[in-house]
Amino acid sequence: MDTHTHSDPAGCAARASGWSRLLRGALLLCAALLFALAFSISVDVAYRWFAGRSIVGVYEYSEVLLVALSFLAFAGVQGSGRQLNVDILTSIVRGRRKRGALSALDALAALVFFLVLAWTAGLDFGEAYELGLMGNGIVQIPMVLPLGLVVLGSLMMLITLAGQLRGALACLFGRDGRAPEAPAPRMDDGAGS
Amino acid sequence: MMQALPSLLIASLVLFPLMAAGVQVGVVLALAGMAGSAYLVGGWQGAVALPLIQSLDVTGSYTLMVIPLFIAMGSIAERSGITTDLFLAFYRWFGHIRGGIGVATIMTCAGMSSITGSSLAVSASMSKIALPELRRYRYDDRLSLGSIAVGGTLAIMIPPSITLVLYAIFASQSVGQMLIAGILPGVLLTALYLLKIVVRCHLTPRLGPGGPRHSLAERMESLWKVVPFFSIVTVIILGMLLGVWTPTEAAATGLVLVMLLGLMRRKLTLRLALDAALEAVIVSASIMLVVIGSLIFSNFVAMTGVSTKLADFIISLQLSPFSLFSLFVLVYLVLGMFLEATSILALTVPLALPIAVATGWDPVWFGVILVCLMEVAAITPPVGLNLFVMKASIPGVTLHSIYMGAMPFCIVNVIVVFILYVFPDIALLLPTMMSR
Repeated sequence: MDTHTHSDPAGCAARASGWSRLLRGALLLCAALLFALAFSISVDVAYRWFAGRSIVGVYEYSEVLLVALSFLAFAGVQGSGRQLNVDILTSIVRGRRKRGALSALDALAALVFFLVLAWTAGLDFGEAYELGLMGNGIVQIPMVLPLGLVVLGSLMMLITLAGQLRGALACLFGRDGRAPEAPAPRMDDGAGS
Repeated sequence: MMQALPSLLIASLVLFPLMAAGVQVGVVLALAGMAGSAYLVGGWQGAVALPLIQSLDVTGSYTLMVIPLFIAMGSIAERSGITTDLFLAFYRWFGHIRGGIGVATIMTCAGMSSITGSSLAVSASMSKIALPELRRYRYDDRLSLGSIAVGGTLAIMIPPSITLVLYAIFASQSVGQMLIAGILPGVLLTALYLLKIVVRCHLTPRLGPGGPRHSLAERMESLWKVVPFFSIVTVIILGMLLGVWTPTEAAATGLVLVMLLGLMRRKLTLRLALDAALEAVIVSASIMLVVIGSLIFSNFVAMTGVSTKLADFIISLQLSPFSLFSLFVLVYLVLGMFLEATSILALTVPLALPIAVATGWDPVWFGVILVCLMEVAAITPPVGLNLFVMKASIPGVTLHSIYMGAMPFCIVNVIVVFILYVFPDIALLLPTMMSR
């Protein structure tokens, strides 16, 4: 798949090494989950080949694994600047302030989306927890599991976006009223590069 | 429709400025869809529920697991040195004929495309593996660069193409059928690229002189190394074609088999496998966000009924199917200059597909046509991602020279699109067999 990516085009985000390490750890966990997904489905295929029936629960748990794999990775993707975007404007805009403004806009828009997502998922999580709601399928998985992953992933994303916004605003307004001379390091410390 | 027009205007006011400003595609599509839906239904309550509904639908979808699994499979195959072995095999078999190293380049690209859905990965690795050989035998630089650029785009068409999977999701088609539909057009494209190289090099021998001839023993030795690779590819595709397994199961089993192959060849380490999985996780998560946003946007477009109205309007123009088809080709070629494939499909499929269906075109065939045009999008400036990746991989080369090399091959793509128009069965034969 072709990705066209950028984040923090001004290079304004502040270094947050502790948070970066956590995001890196989340991405590594997702990588491990991906292997788990591949192995469980393969074993299921082999079992079906020999025994003529599927292993109960593989389908349902695989679906939860994909929720984890996606939502725990979103913040890492944001932190490493690998999200998909159209850079018609960002590629021609010069000057740290202008690029900082675009970065701030990017972060703000994503903040709105993930705030809505975290809020609605949080409400549903509370309801699912109280009522003990279960998912559909042969093996019923508690709904708090996928919903909890959505809430967790969205919160991680919100923290990452807040960091990006803070860096972009600092870049945009510059404490001494001038644009910083040299680009500040990105939050990314090499995850997935 | 009275409410639809202002809601479309609101969605457009969110969509175009934010997208142009570089806000991530998934978020822009979602916000535009939410804003439009909120106006349409007269309140925010339904609109704010959309992100969660679509997030759970998309990320909890068994079908969508093919995306990270196929990306990981390709990544691990590449890191296991399969690209080098493939190139060596084709080089030994065809390197001695005029244009033979170009032929080996395209065939290696096609081979790699059959196991990785990423055209960027193919272009990047072939820039490092094939280009030094092409230059060593004094191949014309434009022909060499063009072969690699366009060869990389074969991954957009040949299964397991992630672009075909995304079209299937956006168009609500079977992922398995879409993947299978890409096989014959992919083979046709490969054959025409090869033909173009061979004919050009025979007409102008200095463009691609023949290399050294290798003994039969050397050829067989190189072939032996790639037999397991082709066995895995064959098992994956045949399994899907015969309905033995779903695309997700094929992807998972393929990933495990490629890992086992890498371990047996002692080329895959834990570190390399983890790197490949990390890459797959990052790429697929970025795609998932686009899919979530796209489905929110599609939902809004469906609510407005604008696609049906647009289809009715276009039909009322009484354009001949060929004129309409040519118009589609032109629009997508222009869009491809400014947007990359995922964004184009996410943005346009909800509008274009109803028109295609109303014209009587098969959605699977239409998807193959769009994906073929997306191959051109990957190598047309100013936003041709494969060009950028190649430039980054080859020191000293200019974007202009890569583009000038790739341009003549783009014409082949357009020819293939029109061949598919005349002979739609090239795309539909295998999916039809599969559904029987």
